[in-house]
Amino acid sequence: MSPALERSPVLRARPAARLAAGVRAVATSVRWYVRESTGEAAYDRYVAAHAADHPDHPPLTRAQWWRARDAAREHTVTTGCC
Amino acid sequence: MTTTTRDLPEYTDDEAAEVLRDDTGVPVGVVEKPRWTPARIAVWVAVALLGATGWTMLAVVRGEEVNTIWFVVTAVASYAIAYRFYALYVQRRVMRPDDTRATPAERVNNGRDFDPTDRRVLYGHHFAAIAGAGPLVGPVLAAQMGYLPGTLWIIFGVIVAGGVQDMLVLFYSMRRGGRSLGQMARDEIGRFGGTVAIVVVFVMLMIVLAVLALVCVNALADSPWGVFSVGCTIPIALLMGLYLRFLRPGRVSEVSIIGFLALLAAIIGGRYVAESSWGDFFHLTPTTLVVCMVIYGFLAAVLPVWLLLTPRDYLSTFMKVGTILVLAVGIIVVRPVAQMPDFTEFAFNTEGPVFAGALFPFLFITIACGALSGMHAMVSSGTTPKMIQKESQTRMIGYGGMLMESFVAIMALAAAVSLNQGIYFSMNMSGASIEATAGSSYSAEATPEQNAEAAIANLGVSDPAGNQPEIIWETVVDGEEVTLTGAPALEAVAQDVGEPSVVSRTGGAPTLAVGMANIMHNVVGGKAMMSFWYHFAIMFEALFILSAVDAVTRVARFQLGDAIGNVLPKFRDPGWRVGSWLTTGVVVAAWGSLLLMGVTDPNGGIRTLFPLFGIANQLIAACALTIVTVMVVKKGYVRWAWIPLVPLAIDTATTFTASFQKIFSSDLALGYWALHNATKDKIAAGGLEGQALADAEATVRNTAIQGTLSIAFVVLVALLMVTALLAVLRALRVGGGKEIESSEDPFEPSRFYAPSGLLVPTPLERKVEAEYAQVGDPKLLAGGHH
Repeated sequence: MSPALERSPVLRARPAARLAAGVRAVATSVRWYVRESTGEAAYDRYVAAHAADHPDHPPLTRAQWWRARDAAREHTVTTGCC
Repeated sequence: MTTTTRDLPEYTDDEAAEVLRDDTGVPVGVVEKPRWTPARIAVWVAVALLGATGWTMLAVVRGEEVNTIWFVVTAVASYAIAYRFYALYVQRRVMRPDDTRATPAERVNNGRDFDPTDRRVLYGHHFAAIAGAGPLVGPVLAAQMGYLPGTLWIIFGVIVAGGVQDMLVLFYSMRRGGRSLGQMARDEIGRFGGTVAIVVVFVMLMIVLAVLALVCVNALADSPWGVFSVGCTIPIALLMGLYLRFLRPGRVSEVSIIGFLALLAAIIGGRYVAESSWGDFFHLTPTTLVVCMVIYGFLAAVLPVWLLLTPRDYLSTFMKVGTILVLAVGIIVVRPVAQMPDFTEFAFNTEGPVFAGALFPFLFITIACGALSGMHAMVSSGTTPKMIQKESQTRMIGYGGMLMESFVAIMALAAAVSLNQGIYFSMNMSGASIEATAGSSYSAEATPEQNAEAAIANLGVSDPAGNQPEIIWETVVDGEEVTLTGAPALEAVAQDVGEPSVVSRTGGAPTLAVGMANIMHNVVGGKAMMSFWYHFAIMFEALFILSAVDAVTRVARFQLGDAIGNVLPKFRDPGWRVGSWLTTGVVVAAWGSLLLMGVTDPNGGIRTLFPLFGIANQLIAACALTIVTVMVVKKGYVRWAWIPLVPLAIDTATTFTASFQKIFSSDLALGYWALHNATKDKIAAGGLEGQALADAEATVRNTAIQGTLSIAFVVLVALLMVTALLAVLRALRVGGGKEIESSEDPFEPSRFYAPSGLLVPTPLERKVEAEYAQVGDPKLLAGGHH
């Protein structure tokens, strides 16, 4: 690598910055995956959709929404594994 | 719109031709032609070479020292090729997904069961739903035949049978609004066939549950540590449920982490409880455990799901992912050598002490879930088809999910065969088996370990070098490494894993746990951590099984309620408490009595009941493949009907031969009725008294039940197949091989786009995703209208 390039602040910062950006990207994906899998993201989506569809009244609270979800789950259990 | 269209991606002409659009021009799918660049060709050649090397090492070279790392390499390379080529071929021939067509999830999108879910998230859900204790214990038991038959069937079975079944059932159910297997059978085959399918599935669920529960009971009996730590999962789950309901609603990750830490504390604390004066309280006999299990199953099925079932599912998923990662890392890091030869004598005779029966058909029956599982057809026609965003994602979820299940089975096999053969057989021979094999060396006064040593010396099996296997265990005594043999070695194993004894711990779960602890202690913690790893493994197997116990009990209770509802309509109302308690009671009594029969069986419950479990599971697969074949023919894909027919033929050959042998064989080890009649004669001849007479009477009773069940299963499935054949002939007569009307839902245009690339979208998919983010319906983007 030429000395001029080595002096470039962008490139000198590169390995560490790239590592940090990489770690952040992985952490973001993991967080997204976990929130999607557990259904935590679903409530946020519900609130956003509710705001667009029915701006005239407030959405269910988190507790109310999860209760409705539990009630629906009561009869949608499947057998699953062997 | 002018402000947003500014950033729309630009497509080349070739690319533009590959984007599917709805009538308003919104992109809804991508159909890419495969492009064989040199880099891609090089990658696939490398994968093929790796796979070929692996198979050569396992199946051709077969040296005395086969490293289990080859199991992993061979499996992964074979899966990659199967997924890329065969699954894609199947998709193009008998599925033909159409991304301009809305899936049920997009059409209904009610934010509850019909919920369009990202393909990677849905993959996780689907895998968590199909993976259970089956693929873990089946391969462990099949290891008695050597490492090669199991490996071959787990890998080839998933490629031609298991993956195909799961994917096709998923696809055809998705085309039918996510209808269940029983409903599809009724729609496509007729009322009679449908009713038979529902009855078959119900009866088999009971036997499946009984055997799973038996595995759990065998792992926990006389193990205060195991009983304490597994018992703790119940209060932990209850607290998690209450926490989520009242304290912090919806904080699932948070409560899962708390629960998982509590679980680890329970595993670690179990040792101190077992060693304390409380230990005796948790020292339970098998029969007591059966009672606990039945009470638990009843309560879990009638309590609200949020209190016990849902939180325990969170725990179980956590453990599932954790354990699979741990096992994969362990095998890759430690790379243990297989102690089992490629084939043992038990592959070719019926003297196997773990289960009776030769390779064909009992290898296929025993491995079951890791290669082909009828239970998966229930998930693939249950929750998953209602959550798929795009039709072209079915391959990744259905076929890909099953490949992962098969991988779990391969790792379980690797863990089992890396265990010393003498220890493997000592753990998996029932008391009766040990007594019979030890023969004149057996002594009622000797310890179980000494009798096991005598039995191993007489066992008709050889080690990889061709000698009689020896019980060998390396351990640490007073800070020094020593190698023990014989009975002291077995005592040292028990000591190392923190159990009173490891002899006759049948069922596969304890063997897998010892195998796993044997691998993992080399990675983390050394000998001191061995007992932790053992109980970690027992814990996750027990969690799987407990999850199955309450989920299946609940589902079976709904089915029973529906069935009785045809006569007494009030039973259909799931909110009617008396009805749900009654139906739950009947269901629990059904599997509970089978479980009790297994636990008290004088010939060893696993040995007598596991074949019945395998046959039941594989017969459900036969039902599913039969129903799929009818749908394939009705769709006009007669030319490719061989795709489901090949696995159906294999499955029919194995299940029907196995049933035939179980019913008609005159070999006492094999035939239920032969043993039944021989024992009856023995009783009639007199001379039996006390325990021997009681055992003989139990044998007569149990074999009668098992024999009757065998006959019932095979007759019911044969009936279903005949009605299916009639439906196929009718379809061919009406349509002449062309598509005829079926119960498939009518076409509705899709307005939604999502990629279907395995993990990362292709470059073109990325472009379309970016365009859709701007031009797509924001309501669909937000994921659900409420």
